[in-house]
Amino acid sequence: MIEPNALKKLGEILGPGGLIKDAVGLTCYSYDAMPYSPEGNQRVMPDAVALPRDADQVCEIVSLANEFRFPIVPRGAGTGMTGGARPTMGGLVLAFSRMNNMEILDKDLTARVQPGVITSRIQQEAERAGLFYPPDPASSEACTIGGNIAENAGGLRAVKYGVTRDYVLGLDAVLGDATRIKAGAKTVKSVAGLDMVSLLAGSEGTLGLVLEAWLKLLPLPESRCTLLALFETADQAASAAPAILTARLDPTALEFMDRYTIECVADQLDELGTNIPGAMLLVELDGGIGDTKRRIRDVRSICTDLGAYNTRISDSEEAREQLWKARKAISPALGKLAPFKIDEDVAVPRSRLAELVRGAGEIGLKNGLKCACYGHAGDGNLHVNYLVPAGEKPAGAEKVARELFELAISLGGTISGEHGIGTAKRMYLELETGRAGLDIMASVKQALDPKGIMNPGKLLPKDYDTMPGYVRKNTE
Amino acid sequence: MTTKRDKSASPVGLTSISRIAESTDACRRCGLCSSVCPVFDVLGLECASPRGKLQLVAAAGQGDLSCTKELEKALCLCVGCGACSERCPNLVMAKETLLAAKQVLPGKRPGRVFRIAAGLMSREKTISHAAGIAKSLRPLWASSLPDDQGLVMRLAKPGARFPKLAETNLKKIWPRNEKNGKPVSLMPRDGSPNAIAGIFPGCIHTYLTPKAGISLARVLAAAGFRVDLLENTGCCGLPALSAGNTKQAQKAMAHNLDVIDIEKYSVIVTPCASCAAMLKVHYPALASKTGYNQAGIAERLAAKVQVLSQVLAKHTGKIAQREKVTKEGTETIAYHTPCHLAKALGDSTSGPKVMQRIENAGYRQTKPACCGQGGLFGVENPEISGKIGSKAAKILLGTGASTVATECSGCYLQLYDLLWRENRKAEVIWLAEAIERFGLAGT
Repeated sequence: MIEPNALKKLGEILGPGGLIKDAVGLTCYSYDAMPYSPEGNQRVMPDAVALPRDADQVCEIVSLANEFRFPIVPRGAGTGMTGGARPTMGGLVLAFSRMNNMEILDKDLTARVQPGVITSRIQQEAERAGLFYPPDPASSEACTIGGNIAENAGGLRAVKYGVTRDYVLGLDAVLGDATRIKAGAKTVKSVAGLDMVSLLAGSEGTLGLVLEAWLKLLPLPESRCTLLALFETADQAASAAPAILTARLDPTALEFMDRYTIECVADQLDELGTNIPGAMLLVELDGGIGDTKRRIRDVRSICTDLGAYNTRISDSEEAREQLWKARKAISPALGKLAPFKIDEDVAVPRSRLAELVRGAGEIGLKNGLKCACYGHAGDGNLHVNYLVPAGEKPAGAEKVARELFELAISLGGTISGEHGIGTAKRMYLELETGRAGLDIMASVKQALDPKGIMNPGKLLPKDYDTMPGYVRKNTE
Repeated sequence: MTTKRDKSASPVGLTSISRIAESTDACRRCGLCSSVCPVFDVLGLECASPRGKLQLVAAAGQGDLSCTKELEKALCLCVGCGACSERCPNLVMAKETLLAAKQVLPGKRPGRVFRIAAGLMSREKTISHAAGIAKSLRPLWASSLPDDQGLVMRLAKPGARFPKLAETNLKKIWPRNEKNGKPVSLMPRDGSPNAIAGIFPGCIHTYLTPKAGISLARVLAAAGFRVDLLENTGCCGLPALSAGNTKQAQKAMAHNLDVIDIEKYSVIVTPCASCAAMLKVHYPALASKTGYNQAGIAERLAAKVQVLSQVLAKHTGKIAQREKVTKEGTETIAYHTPCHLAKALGDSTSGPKVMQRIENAGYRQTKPACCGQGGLFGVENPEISGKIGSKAAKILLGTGASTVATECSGCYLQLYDLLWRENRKAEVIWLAEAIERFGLAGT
């Protein structure tokens, strides 16, 4: 538990309204969007929640956590899928909602952002300046940039523009041992020393905290155009995706949806009529107007050649927005099919996508579970969802997930394309990294966070836990 | 399609917290509701977000959280706009779940807000800092305004600019038969109505803006209706429901279902979108779950309820302006879409569609934004409400419009105050008044 002395000091650092200690407030910081973890989904309450207003307060808190040895659980908007923002043993949830200032530096084509800024706001403010912040996680309307950096979030435009890491130029950060560092630079390129930005991006709050970030922006593309292509079978759609890539048509987004996932959001897709297709692709292109139009027609003929029975091109802002809104709603909307899902985000080399779709389906069949697949076909990153029917216990979930991860790795892929490891996948991390990989990560953690206070119980497997003796006060 | 929202799934009217908490089962905690919540936008606290509040209901339902003041306070941090329910990709009825939870959670608290409001109004000291309000309230309090009317509570918002109270009420100024004193119907000019419309006036048109009630009747008559005043109807009951007082809400519902001759009317028009939401959405849910024996009636009434813009969106005839405005064509007008219309009734198009036909003023279309009033929310949380509302006011007036039309009592009262704070020349009027002032083109 956090000692009363430490709590008192926290209150002094944060000022009135900055520290939450009542049961109602704590309950609201006990969850994120993680659908399932083999370690259990039960609510673990934090001891307290801090709502810092500036970087100095954050640094003081990290010092205090070292002095009194309590866990810090960083939290952006709590939209993560692997439990990164959930307390596992109590401690202090450090929520960045009040650190939400940003400015667009249009002469530098960069943005300076605090960690609590909501991602869609960065996109909108950039657009207002004729600029473009490409990373677009499906939760962009709710998630924050701090969480995006900590998880190295991917999203819908990764096939052309890459992931969050690719847009972080520099960071102001505080490490687990309370050292404040500047990582990277405000410039488009910098090779001054080790790439600390890459180390921190995707570290899931286990090494340090982002206090401020400089993001790279691009000029806003002149036009965008979206194609919806409907197929009879998932196989057809999954083979059309790599064909579009190899034809060098440079899609901004190339999304795959199978029958179950389409069903979940069908009410938002007027184009479908009453027939639910076996699968569909959503393809977006951007660029100069004439060029976009030409390429989208090429994409359409590839889809038609490979079995699409219906296609539609949308270039109006409104129609496109509706399509992408439906696409972004899939993950939560799958709850309509089953109250419980094993939701994994494996990725494979893009040419192997169809094999992954087939294999994932077979694993479901073998284990008696419906398998709903959708995702970033252009990245080879598939969201595989095994649906556990209402009333049934998710027995064997751990085995099903393991089989899927083994399949992904056998195809040359990874166990997580973009959700991260958190608590949900840490028992599987070794499958991909091997023991040596885990050991080196633990050494890095030891160097930057010697007391192990930063987001304990996440990323590295249980035998690497740093605060095994810590117990929350009410459960003593 | 398989996934249209089903109103019968509304937990409103359920009496056990564990049953109500079941409607949170489908919540995947994705946070999309938070991104559209006006209260979360202002406060930034997770316990103010719909997702947070749903998780609180879930925890209470599982017995992990006891019914404390803090819990009650958190659950009441809801303006009731319904943006959360509309946005939820998983069809969780967030707003309705909170509304239902309020009825049962904090133990028995019959009419807590009623008591606060009544207490405020009777305790001069408490509101003496809001001079003028107390003065204007007292005669009203003492006068003909029944104390179960939702309006009473809205009046208790301290410090807000408030419309001058009418000397009369709608029942008094509605034309009557000289012999028997019964209210007469307003008829279209050609004398042959194509349908009968009943006006459910609600508190606001009855007591506060009765002249606008007559405007509403004239506009409906001009659209070809024979228009009756449903003069024996009372408060719709929504304020009581929002205050967590199911019993009072049911009482209001039972009374209204009793006095309205539903079969006689082809449409029942409320000037207020919140009344419409209560009649159309909450009555059937309340009636079906509380064993109210006239559930069928609630459904039949619900099917006929509309607000003015919905009626006019389908009636395409021209409606002439009543008197020429000065400097024709120089006025600009915006339309404030009530959340209860856009979200609860799911209609965000009728209002703008009708406004596009406004003849002698330039219509400035805006994106809908919550005004922050939310019935009693503004009374309980004036500061948060004001912050939400001033954003909406800035959007509306940012178009250059000096007049804003709306059709909801809460929005009307809130904008009456907030538009004036932004711009001393700006004013809010009822949609019917806007049509009489500027005229409506036919299509």
